Amino acid sequence: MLKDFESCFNCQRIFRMVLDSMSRPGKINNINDFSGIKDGYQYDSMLKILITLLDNEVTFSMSAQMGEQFKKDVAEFTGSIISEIQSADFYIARGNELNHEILRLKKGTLQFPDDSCTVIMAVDSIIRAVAEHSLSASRLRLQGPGIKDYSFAAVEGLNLQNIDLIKQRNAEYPLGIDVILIDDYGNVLCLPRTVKIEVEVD
Amino acid sequence: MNDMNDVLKRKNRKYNFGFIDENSKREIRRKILKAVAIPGYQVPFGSRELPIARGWGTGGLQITLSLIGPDDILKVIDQGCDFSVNAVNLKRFIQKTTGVEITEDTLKATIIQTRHRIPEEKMGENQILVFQVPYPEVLRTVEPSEAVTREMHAEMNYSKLWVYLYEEIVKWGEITIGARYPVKVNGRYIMDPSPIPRWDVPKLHMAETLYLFGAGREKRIYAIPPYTRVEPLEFDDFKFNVESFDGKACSLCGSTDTFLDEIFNSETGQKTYICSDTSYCSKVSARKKVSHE
Repeated sequence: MLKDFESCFNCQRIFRMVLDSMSRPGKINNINDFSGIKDGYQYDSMLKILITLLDNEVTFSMSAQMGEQFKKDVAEFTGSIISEIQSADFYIARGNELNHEILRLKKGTLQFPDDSCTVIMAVDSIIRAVAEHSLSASRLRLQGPGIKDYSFAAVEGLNLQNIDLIKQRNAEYPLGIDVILIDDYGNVLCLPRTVKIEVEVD
Repeated sequence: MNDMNDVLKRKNRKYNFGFIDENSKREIRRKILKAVAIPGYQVPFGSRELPIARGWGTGGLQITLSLIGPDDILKVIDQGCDFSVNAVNLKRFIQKTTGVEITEDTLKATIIQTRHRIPEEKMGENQILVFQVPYPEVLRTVEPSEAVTREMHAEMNYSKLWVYLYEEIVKWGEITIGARYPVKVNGRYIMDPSPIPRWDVPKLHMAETLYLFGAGREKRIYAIPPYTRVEPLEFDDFKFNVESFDGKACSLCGSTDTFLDEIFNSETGQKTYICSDTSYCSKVSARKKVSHE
């Protein structure tokens, strides 16, 4: 299944793109150019990111909507360990489902705020939006470190209440969670805990 | 630019691309992402053994090796110089284990690993600057215990450091910290910017470039993302200032707006100055030479 995915070089390039998006919230990078995991695999792009970041030293939890087979695939191809949601280093979910579990994810301690969960969320599409043109019902207006003034991104397939839950979880900076959104076309958008998110709805 | 196939063809190599194994890279990459998400916070990591002694740039080296790919162009500097022992050895090691292109041109490089300087030329969005850090803990001067300094960062209790700076002014009439001048990042963490001179501290503020800091011996990674507020510590009535080179110019290129190294001739007793950033100095000299011809 992984025969076309060259781990050393593909992981390096995917990481650089995720790092670029994490450093510059609102900047969208595309990881579709890299050889896929398997033709027609539903979570191909997400699995590429998971293989890049997960291994047997970290744990993950997954929402039921992602399916039991995908959970098994992630465990098999990354070696990562399935854990309870409140202790998971990574949480994998779909953005369109309302996900109250976000409030249970570990957000670190004041001594070790890095001991916190990274959420990897599948959405339908991520499009770079501009201030004057609203392209979608859920346009995110972002501000914070990594952003010169403001940046905008339109995300489809993201339940807006999830954004409220993420904001709640990140209310006590430096405690919080960091989010990586990935769409069906391989577009990556990151929302680190430092970013201020405003949802603009037409 | 190197073709990835060329790199892949090097089947006889007895080590992984970039020397360290993929699992180690993966851990360092995860820590880098957390460091970026919490600007100025020191993320602990499992610093690996390398064929170079700890304290000689292994923190920066591990970050660089976790970032670098066949398409990257690398520059390594030591105190601004491309040709000093530390820079040359690190460069050779990375080149040998990755095959990447090496440059001395600041603007051409995609990754620059540095010891104690930020290049004079303004770096752009597509570049990453990796700092080698000897002492990541900014509070170590005022508190020897790691457990206590971690608590102090947690509680934003920086009073001891402020008192230290105040006492410096009382004793000496100025803050005598030359390099490692403490800065506040994103209004939250006070951070050691590595032993860069004060001259370079303003370049950290709202920069276009991602700054990553690695301390191999102390096992810490931290970061300043682009466009992040970085403020040197100062008092309302005692402001931060940078080194002054008034009336001095580089004896090689004539620059008067760069950080200068003092060269003392013990035989003549004469002091001359040259740019600390050798790449920039060469560029300016070459430009002047062309315009004279």
